[in-house]
Amino acid sequence: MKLSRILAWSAVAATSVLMASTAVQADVSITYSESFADLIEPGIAAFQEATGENVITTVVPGNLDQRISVDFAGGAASDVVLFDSYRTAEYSESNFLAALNDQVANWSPWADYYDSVKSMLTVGGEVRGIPIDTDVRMLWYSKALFEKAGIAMPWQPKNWNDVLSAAKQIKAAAPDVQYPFYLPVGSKFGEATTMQGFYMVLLGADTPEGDRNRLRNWGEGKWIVDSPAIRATLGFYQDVFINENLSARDLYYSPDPWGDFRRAFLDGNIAIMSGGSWEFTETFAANGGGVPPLAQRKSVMGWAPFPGSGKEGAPVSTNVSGGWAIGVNEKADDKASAFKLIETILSPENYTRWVSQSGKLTTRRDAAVSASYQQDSYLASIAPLVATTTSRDTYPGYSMVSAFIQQASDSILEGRSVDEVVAEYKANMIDEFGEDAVMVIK
Amino acid sequence: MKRLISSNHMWLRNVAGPVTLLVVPCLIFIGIYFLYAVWTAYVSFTDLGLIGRKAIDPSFVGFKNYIRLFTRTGFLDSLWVTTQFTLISAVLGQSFLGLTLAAVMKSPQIRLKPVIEFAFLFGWLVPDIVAAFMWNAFANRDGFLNSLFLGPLGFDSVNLLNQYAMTVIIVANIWKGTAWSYLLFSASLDSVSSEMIEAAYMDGAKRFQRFWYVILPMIKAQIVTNILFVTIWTFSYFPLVWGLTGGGPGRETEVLSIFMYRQAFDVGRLGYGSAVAMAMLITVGFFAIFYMRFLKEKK
Amino acid sequence: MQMSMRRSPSGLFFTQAALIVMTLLWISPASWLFMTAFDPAASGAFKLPDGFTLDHFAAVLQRKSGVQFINSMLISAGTATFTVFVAGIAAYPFSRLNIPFKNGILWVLVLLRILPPVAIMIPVFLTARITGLLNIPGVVLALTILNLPFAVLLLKNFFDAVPIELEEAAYMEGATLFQIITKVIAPVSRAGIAVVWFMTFTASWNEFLFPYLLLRTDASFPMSVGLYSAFGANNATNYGFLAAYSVIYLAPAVIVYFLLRRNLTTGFAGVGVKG
Repeated sequence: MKLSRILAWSAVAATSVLMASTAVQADVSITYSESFADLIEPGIAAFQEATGENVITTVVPGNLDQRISVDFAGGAASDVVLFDSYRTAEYSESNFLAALNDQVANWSPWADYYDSVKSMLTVGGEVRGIPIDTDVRMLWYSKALFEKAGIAMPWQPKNWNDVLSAAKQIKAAAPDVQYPFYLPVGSKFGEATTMQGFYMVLLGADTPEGDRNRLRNWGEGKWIVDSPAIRATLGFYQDVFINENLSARDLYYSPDPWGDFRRAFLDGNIAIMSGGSWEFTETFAANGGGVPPLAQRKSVMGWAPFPGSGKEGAPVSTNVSGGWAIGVNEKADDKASAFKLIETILSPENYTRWVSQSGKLTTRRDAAVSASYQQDSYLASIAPLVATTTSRDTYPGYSMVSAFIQQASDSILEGRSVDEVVAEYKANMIDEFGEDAVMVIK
Repeated sequence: MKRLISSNHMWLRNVAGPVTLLVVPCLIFIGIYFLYAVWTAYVSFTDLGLIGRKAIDPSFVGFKNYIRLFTRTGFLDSLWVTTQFTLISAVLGQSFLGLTLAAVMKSPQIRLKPVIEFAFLFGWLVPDIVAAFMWNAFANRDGFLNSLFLGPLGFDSVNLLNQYAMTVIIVANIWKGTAWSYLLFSASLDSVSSEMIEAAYMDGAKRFQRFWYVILPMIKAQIVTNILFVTIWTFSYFPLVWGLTGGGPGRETEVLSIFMYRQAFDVGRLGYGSAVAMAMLITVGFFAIFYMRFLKEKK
Repeated sequence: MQMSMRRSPSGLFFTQAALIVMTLLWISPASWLFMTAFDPAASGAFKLPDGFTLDHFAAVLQRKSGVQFINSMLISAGTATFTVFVAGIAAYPFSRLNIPFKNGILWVLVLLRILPPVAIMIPVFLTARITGLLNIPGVVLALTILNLPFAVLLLKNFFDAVPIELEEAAYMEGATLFQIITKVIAPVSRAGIAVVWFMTFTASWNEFLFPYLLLRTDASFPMSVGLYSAFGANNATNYGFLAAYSVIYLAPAVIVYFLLRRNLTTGFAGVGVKG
């Protein structure tokens, strides 16, 4: 081993790193997650062909939301980013996102976007991003397992108890099923726990008047840190994971939680799962073999609206919608190119093609009236959910609230009592926002 | 005249000045390291956030973050998880097994020594994330542990990461780290003079007695060193657990390094995360002081 | 010592059998990894391969893995070289001269060596954000800082063992300081420098947390982060791909071990170093 040679080569290597890291700056970079690949990648190809510019991609397999936040916080985000629209206020507050008013003014499809979603992405009159999609949430069930357990289909649970008893029936009929009821939980799963899990339960827990089923009382302008609804929701989690043992816990913490639960569903290891409208395609994509035709998917999985608690006056069913947006990093060297890339990705053809088959809902009229979107029987079937949906309590600080909710669900898994967990949540919230910004509902 | 920088050697006296300058880059780096520790301490007294308003305009919160370590859920659980993980996997597992193995392997009658040695070293050579991946596959329902052990023994196949996550990470870490202790003890046993052992043998000391009364006291320093090092490393070990269980289920395997990472970069509380980091520093500092005193006494 | 370690035949048999069993247990994860990497029907299950294929390795080479291998090399070689250089030039005066506060500095090095790196993660992140070093050079700098204390202590021990008479003789013959360093000191301490270089290389090759936090683009990931990210990539846990990737990723560590094996004891003798 010639030491001098190693040293010489290493010096060469070190120099070339420094050079390589400066050489890439002329290109446009973009960060997205696997689940958007089908939208983004054809757009990138078209952009490269049209402009000759190189696009540097970062594809995040796991939690894109947390990842983007750290990217932004470190000042190292890509030029073009996909972000969860609830972050808009926070990111704008920190000046992470470029204002796009001038760009959208000259971009004809902008007129086709619904005003309601436009307003989600507009802070103080500045457009901070282009909404890509929105969605609804529901309970998915495995038709094979339901048949095995002799549960009538189409399944129409009327209250929480119906859901629990169906899961118990599955457990009795098929003891091998580790997740009779897959309910997103825990901090590893991030925002999915809050949305696909906690909110879906919370929103139907109590009578809805006075924001009793929410995390924020908008009338009073305060965060709700203790309420009958929050307690009932945590109690429901306790029933599922501790009292009735209707779900194993490791899937929510695996290195690839998204892919693993979808494969578990296809393998017949999950009977009921709380998930988004996109699961109708994404679940099948998780096996890597492409998405089978509609009829085949229909024979595997069915859906039902997530029911309310059954308490008098509580909502019959619940739903919460989110959505992702695409924006330009304030620090991008070439904002014009960055927006050009967004334009190419969101060209009417590319966007319509994608949104019609993604199981997500469109945010713009031109796609909504397109033949492929109109003729999709699945999208037509979820239309009633869209009519009654709600959104998260996206006030600045929400991401922290959501993180505390996820921690609270961790605590339930650990076997703590509802009282303890509520006390913990309340204490965390007061630490963060102060006594004046929170309230208790009796 | 006594010089500020001196040497006992003739030739160095004339060049002492320039040679001393060579220390400067190193001292700068060490200075940065030290500065970072101080910086962590400083941040721990603020409510600095990762993003949002508190990222730009943090305020000083005194000891609040430290009080919250003990009054809010999370830190104490995590400390307990870390203590169990460290004691069982590093002290009982790696050190004990490593010492036993090193002692046994000294016998010339053992066959296949290179093979045995390589098998143990392999765990140590494998990068952390590869180890996490292997053990993840190992612990799954049709993985190695189920199909080769539990199945043949008549047990139903279990999802080990769901029910015995802590045991899995402990076993994985013993697998991963025993080689290090083995190498250290192997080297230190070589330094024990054979005359001493021979003499003990002549006195009729039994094998175990000989080991306990003659050899062990002679390598006491190395034993303490080893235990201390593996304790400190395991105490702040991140990648294996992160890749294997992600800290779950619940908080079952949320060791302090994961807790700190989560609070700082997932929840976004850099201030609170720094307080966790300081608590880890202080704990390790105690170990370190203990160790240094031990070394000084040895001198 | 060897004479006295004789055992009774039955005891020996038992010990040998126990060792073989443990060896099998220890090697079994590796066997799974290698079987899966070459198995055309790879899965998480523990089974004999259905056949033999190099497809998984081909897949690894086609994706971003090639770049990630180079990134790992750059980070590890960069860190090792930089660390050895800075530590080497500092260890020499520490070994030869009576510098003020020398003992204090050496004690600080011992202390820093055992501090958990996680503890300084937040300031490292904040500095990298200010200086724009959330990239490979930033990781090299961070890892150099972390590896430096041990490297200095170990190299000082090596230099302590080099007789100064050689240097004095060269000096008498009129050699300059630079000549003495390059022609006399460096060749004699080459083994020590090599050990430190390889140890730092292996540690950086293995490092996950700092690259995971400081590198924000696929193009800059080293293999550790690349493998973690590949767990769920392309919509499926592709065991064959991951196993093949792992084999490629761990190969340099094993090769380095065989190169370094004879020197390992030297390194371990240095583990308990003190001021």
